[in-house]
Amino acid sequence: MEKILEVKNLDKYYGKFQAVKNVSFNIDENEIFALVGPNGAGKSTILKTIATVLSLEHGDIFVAGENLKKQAKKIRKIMSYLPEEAGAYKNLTGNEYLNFMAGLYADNKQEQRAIFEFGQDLSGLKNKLKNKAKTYSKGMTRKLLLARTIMTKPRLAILDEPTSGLDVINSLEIRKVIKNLAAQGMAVLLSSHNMLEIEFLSEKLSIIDQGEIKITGSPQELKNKYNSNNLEEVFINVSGK
Amino acid sequence: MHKFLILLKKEIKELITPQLVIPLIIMVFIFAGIGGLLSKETAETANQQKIWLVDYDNTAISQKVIESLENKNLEVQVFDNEIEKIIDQAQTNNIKFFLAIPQGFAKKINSLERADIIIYNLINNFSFVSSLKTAQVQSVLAIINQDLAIDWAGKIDLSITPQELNNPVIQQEYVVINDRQAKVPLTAVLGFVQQQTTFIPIILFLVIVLASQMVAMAVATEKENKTFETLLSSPISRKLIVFAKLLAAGIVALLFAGFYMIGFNYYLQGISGGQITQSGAGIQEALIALGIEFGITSYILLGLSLFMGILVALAIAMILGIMADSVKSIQAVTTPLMVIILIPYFLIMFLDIQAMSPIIKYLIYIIPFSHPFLAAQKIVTHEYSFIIYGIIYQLIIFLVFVIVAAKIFSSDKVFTLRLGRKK
Repeated sequence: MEKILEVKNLDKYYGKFQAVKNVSFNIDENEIFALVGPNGAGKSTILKTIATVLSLEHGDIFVAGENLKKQAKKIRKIMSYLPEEAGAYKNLTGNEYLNFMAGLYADNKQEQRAIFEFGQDLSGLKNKLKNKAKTYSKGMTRKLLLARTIMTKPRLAILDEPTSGLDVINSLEIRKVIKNLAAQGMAVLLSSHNMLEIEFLSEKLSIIDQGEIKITGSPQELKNKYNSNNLEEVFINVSGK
Repeated sequence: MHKFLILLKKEIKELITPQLVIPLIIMVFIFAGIGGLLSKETAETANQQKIWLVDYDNTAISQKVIESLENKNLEVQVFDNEIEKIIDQAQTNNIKFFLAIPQGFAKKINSLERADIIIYNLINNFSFVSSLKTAQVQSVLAIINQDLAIDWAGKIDLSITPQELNNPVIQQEYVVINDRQAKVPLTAVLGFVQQQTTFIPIILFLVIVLASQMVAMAVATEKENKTFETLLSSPISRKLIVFAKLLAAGIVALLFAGFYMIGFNYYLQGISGGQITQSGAGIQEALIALGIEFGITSYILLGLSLFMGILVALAIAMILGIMADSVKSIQAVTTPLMVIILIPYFLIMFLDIQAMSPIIKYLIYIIPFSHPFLAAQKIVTHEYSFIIYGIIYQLIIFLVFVIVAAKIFSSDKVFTLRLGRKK
């Protein structure tokens, strides 16, 4: 199976503070990979660096074999990023937002139209897409943004805390969509500190603490290794907290 | 009450931040500085002790006029050469006005006829200080009138009206702008120019402030909403994002400027009752002779200068917007920009920049926002090269700030840059 993402010896500094320390991991096609850790562990920094939002200074990242340092623009076309607790443009309707974002990815009007219509279907918001985003609830906004993230059919979807702050029903719906993504051939890199969510979604995960990856494996492998009933216990054992 | 005080204390603490206090302190110093400069300029203008007088009559009466002025502690410098040469000399010496006693002055005065005294007003700006000259000219004329009236009183003649008896001298005023001159009262010229140009700095100030806050708000909102991260991860160049934001705010600002101009035009027509267009034919001719007309070139240059001013402000505001912690802090981060815009706004409105010390003058020129304010005055005096250099200077400053903004957008500083503290 082809590796869709390879992260090699990634370091990230904010001034003198080292937020990410020598992080390496790979994601295969169709795989859901999770970065798990507490707040401030460096998860979002890693995701933002891969998403090209933050600069890559130390280490290497390859997406579908392309070097991120050299081919950032090309990589951005095959990758999509959903920031944690992101919003949409409040004065645009859901339709206008999806169409605007489709325009940034498409090479022509036809392609833009196709991406936009796919986004409309994915959102499940139907007639509510005609309303301005400022009228949306948190769950509706998240659905709109998730639809925006995957409507371009990226080979790699990067989702930062995809269900953060959502109620049970909305969280479940979002998780189903994510699960379907992998089934459709997309690789997913997500971050969360919700261990139940990770256990449900991911095939492989890395536990990260203080900018370092402590351990990587499938949920079952990790539970077996630490003789734990769930990932929360694994995390406590690994981090020593 | 105790709980109310706890709440009140917390609210005040929330409101009084260093971002609010520091600009306020700076503003106090700026206003104090402007006030100091203004009072100095006002006092200098009001107490100009040196009077230039061209005596073409050279008679006992003209000598008496000179003595009258000297008796009032005025230092009178007398000339008798060609008027053009004296105008040149006066311009070189930064003399604001001078008097000329024409030939036949004494003959008329001695025959108890009112006689002309010609006043040449040399103007190179239309600030508040310029209008103070009018009062000074009037006080000099009052001295001359008073002494000659006493002289007349000794030769009672019923053919003279009491009004004529009080004012033996007829004031004939000339205004000189560069190499053009026209017989017209200074107040008429200043009134016309100020009516035409006063609203330009006001509009400019409003539009720059509005546009700056708009673009800073756009950047801060994107950051706060995290739509910025989505945008930066999409397959478009970051420079494109910067230019799109600047251009969009520039277009909206220009629309605002257009609406403000239309509004102010109606307002001015309302307060002047159409006086500008209906002013006396003599004044109209004099204004044309002085070259005070607002042709298409003037408006294009002024428009360009205004637009460049807006663009510079937008580029700076974009960087300031990046530094904002949240949308709420926009006002605080854009305050330094407002202060930089206010300095030339007040200085140029109230003072004669040309007459200031070279250091202050060039410091004002360094501020890019001075140029649109100055352009509004320079189009009247047809100093187009000054306006063009100003536009070029603003363009350079704009490009520098756009490059800085693009560099910040292309780096992690877009997320880490903060005003006043390190993350």
